[in-house]
Amino acid sequence: MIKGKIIDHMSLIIMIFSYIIIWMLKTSFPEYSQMLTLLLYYIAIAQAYNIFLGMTGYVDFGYVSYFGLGLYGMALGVSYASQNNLSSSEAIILGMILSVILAGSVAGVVGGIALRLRGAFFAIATIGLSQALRYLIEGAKIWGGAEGIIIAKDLRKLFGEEGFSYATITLPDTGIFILAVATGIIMYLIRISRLGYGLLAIKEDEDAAKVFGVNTTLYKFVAFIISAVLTSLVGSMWTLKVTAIYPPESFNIAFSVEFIVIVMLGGGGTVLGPLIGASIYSLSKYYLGVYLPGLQLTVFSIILLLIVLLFRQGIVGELRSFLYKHEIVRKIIR
Amino acid sequence: MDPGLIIFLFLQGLVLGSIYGIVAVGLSLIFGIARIINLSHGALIMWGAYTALTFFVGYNLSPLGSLFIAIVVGLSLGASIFYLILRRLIGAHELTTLLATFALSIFLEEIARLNYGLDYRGFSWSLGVVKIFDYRLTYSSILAGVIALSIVIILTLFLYKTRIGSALRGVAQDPVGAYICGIDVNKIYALGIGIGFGLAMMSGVIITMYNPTGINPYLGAPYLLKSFVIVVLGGLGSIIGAYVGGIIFGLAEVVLFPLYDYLHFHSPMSMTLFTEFVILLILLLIRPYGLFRR
Amino acid sequence: MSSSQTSGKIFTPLTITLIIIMLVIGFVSGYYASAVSRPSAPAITYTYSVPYTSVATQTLYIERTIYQTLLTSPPATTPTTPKPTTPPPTLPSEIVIGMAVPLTGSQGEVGTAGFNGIKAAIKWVNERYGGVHLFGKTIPLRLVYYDDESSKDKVVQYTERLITVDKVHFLLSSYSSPLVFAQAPIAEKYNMLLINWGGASDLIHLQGYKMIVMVWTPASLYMTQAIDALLSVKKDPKIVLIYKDDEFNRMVAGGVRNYSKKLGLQIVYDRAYPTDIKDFTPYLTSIAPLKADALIVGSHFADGQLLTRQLADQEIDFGFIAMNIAPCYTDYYKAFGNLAEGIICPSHWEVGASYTPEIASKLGVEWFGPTEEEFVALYREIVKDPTARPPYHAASGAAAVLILVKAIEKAQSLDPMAVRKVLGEMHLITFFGEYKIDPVTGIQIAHKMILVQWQKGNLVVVWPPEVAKSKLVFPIPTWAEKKAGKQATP
Repeated sequence: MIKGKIIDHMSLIIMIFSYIIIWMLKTSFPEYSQMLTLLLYYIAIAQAYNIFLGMTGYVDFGYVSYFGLGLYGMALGVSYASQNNLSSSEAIILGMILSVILAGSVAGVVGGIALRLRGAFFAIATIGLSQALRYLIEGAKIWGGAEGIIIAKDLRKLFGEEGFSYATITLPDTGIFILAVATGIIMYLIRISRLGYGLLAIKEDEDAAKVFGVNTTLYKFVAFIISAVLTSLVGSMWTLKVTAIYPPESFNIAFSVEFIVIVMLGGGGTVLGPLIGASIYSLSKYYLGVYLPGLQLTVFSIILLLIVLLFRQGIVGELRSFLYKHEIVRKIIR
Repeated sequence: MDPGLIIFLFLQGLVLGSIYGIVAVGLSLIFGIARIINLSHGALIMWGAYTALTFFVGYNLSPLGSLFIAIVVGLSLGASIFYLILRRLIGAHELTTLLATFALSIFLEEIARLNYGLDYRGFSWSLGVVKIFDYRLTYSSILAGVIALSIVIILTLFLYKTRIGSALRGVAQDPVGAYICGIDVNKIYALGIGIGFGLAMMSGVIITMYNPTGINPYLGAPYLLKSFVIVVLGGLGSIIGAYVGGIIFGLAEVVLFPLYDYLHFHSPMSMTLFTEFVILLILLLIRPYGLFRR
Repeated sequence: MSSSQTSGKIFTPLTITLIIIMLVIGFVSGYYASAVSRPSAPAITYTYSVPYTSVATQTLYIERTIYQTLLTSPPATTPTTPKPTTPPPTLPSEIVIGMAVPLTGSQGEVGTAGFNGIKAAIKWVNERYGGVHLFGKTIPLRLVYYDDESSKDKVVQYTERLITVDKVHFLLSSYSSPLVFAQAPIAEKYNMLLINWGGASDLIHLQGYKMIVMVWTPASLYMTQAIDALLSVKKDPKIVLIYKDDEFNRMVAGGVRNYSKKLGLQIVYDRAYPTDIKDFTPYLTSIAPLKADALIVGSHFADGQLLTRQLADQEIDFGFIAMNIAPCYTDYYKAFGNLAEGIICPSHWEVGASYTPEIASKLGVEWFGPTEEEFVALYREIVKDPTARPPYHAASGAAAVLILVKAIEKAQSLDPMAVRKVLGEMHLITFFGEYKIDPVTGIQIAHKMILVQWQKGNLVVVWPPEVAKSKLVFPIPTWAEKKAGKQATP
């Protein structure tokens, strides 16, 4: 009995273990800290995206919008706090709350409208969102317009000279790590819960799921909102790192595409998939850039193509299918 | 408001819209027939533009001639990509083909960058202007719009009046049923994708007729984005829908601008683009599958 | 359907305990590891002396701040009096300059140009000048670089890698303000000097960063010379201002607005356009009836080219057209031919507009670096094209290298703080122009933009008069005249 129970949750344990390893790497090798933070950033967003994309199979091309809203939430929070002389922790908390509210409400509206569509229709219908937000900000000159928001000075004021490095590097790096762990755990909890089971059923065959009594609309909606909110939190941390945000890059569709690739690469709907996908993607891009400057993208595209051809369900997904008949493997690789 | 201005803007909008339309049609076609979201659409448009540039500067061939080169290259490229890569991914989830076309788009951009460099190139192909009241419309842009329209008409005739066209439509509606009817589905897929690629490259040539400057390896990305939205507006898989969607977008862009300018918005053009998406959103509320359901 | 998936407790007590234990172990060990490696309390300061024989023999003390890491075992006490507890270190065999630069992506073209200019300057320093003169020896420069693909997350990663893995001595910035913004906190954290040759936004230097030094003209001063030139030929002109809605061009436009207000000039049309604009027609129809004298455009490549095309199509004439970036390139003339005649472009530098040792001595300022001829020759060697014409980004990058080398020599030190101090006080002229910064913010205050204009198929310098090779043509021929073949002749 006991043995069975641990095996059941093996994927969670593997995942947490990986996070611990990454953290220890980060502290032992500070010269790679940014690279590892980037890795965690990719993992966090991939896990968050996986909750919706991987579990339901619905592709949201406008996903970057929630990230962008997260960026703006923190930027607005910090600038407001700086102008009104709030404390530094109040500023950060305010920023995070704003990110969540912005992303959550937009996700609520968009989800309500767009989730009625199926498959590819949904996918492309959501593209407009990110562009709409970008042009709205630029055109109506809200939130700084195309000028963007630059918070370096505000951070200096809130955290002081010595605290600047803390605010722009240590704090967001730690935040991203915590979010990576949190999204992973949430993903796992969803995966083994009724919600997750229903979502996977929707992915397989939505009509059948409906017939069997799965409340598809509610489930999709819940996954959508959770996914959006988690990404916005990652966005809020990212603002602290880059200290300056602008509309075109904050709502850049290449972001969504990249993460679709990462999630599918690792295997959508699996717990370990985003971890593997994000690691392969970010690490290979980093090292290709180090050793083949100028040619890294060409090589990368070829590698990507090969992986797609060989692992049609993503790496983890394919592995799982391949060894499906072994129940132990099924439980370990969730 | 000067009525001449309104008429001019309307015509300009039609021209621009026609171009947006042909750009979107290629994407819609591939999706309709093979259920593939072709992310390399933008890169192909860029290659079409480079084709026009190379042959104009190198061989003095006008873009009209490059149109034929574009369709031939596009057809062969599309068919080969299908047989080499996409064929194995057809049955799988839509997203796998998405990844493949994503990788392809990066590859095409990189090849263009390595081959042509990152400079912004252009050429001068001027046919004169026609005066509409006080404003001028260039013949080359009118030509671009007209050619775009003709291509769409030819394509529609092809799809509805020929046997192969019916085969294409059959596979688009129901691949299994088509197979049972004896259609070689793989060949049709290859043809459909080839035509789609060819259309994308032709759009690139047509774009250079409208604006023969600013050609660079990252030219295609904004067009890809616009095409996605237009295709949803018009209905995925519908050729006419994509074209009409393009017209709507073109008109909106050109005609709404003076309105926003009048209302003293900081950047009227951005507001216009924002409005396009609002239109899309409202439309999706009413007709979720786009204007023309396939 | 296994039972563990839909029913039953998720977390048995045992599982929960195990998870908690693992988390606790993980975080405790992580915290411990980071506590030991973090530069918490006193950073250990070593001071050592290096005998430096020069005309006046003196002993210099170099302070080096070393952070404790897990890998080195440091003594726990801080030496308070400078005494040579360690023997003088050997000088490095080479001075390593690091750079994350966009060689691909949206900034790829200009990034590559700057990169080649930097390589040319390094070649000059190593081969013609002999290397950096430090402590009586000459030390060559070495460049370590990565392609950041015009992407913020890459520039952050690679900047860190340059500092921590490649252990460069100094950093040259990336190209474009957003990228420089992104890499600034990393450089600041490691107390690394960042020479900004590619980010023109004034705002970078108003954020309180201490270690960033600007080499070229800030964005707000891009078009002010154009206004001066305009005023020299037309009193009280009516100006149309349109600009791309990105941070850089907004600053340029802001500079135009402020300057015009100061001089009491009227701007009759002032609008921004979005980054990937495909059609200027709506703007043009509003502009045409205004019959203004001058058009000032804050643009980049594609939009600048598109605007020119559509202006020509619509035949909207101005006596004076100054456009950012796009017309400064030969590709512009290749694309437009005669239509490009008369168009003015503000540039940091152009071949033919270089400063010379004579100008430097006339102004009483120190000169350093290659002459224009030397630089162009080296640049052509680097890009392997004997007809190549280096654009101003190449010159700006080269100037960054030269200024850095001179500052190192003046400071006789590789310590970033010492070099930064010297950079704040230095007044220098290179072929690229004057260099002098505001010591607190690091903003460039002495480098002036020049104006170039297409005349008879050549890009000639027309302003300021000190370096001008030809007179400014005003008014420029109309589009109709240009289509008929008329050129801009002074």
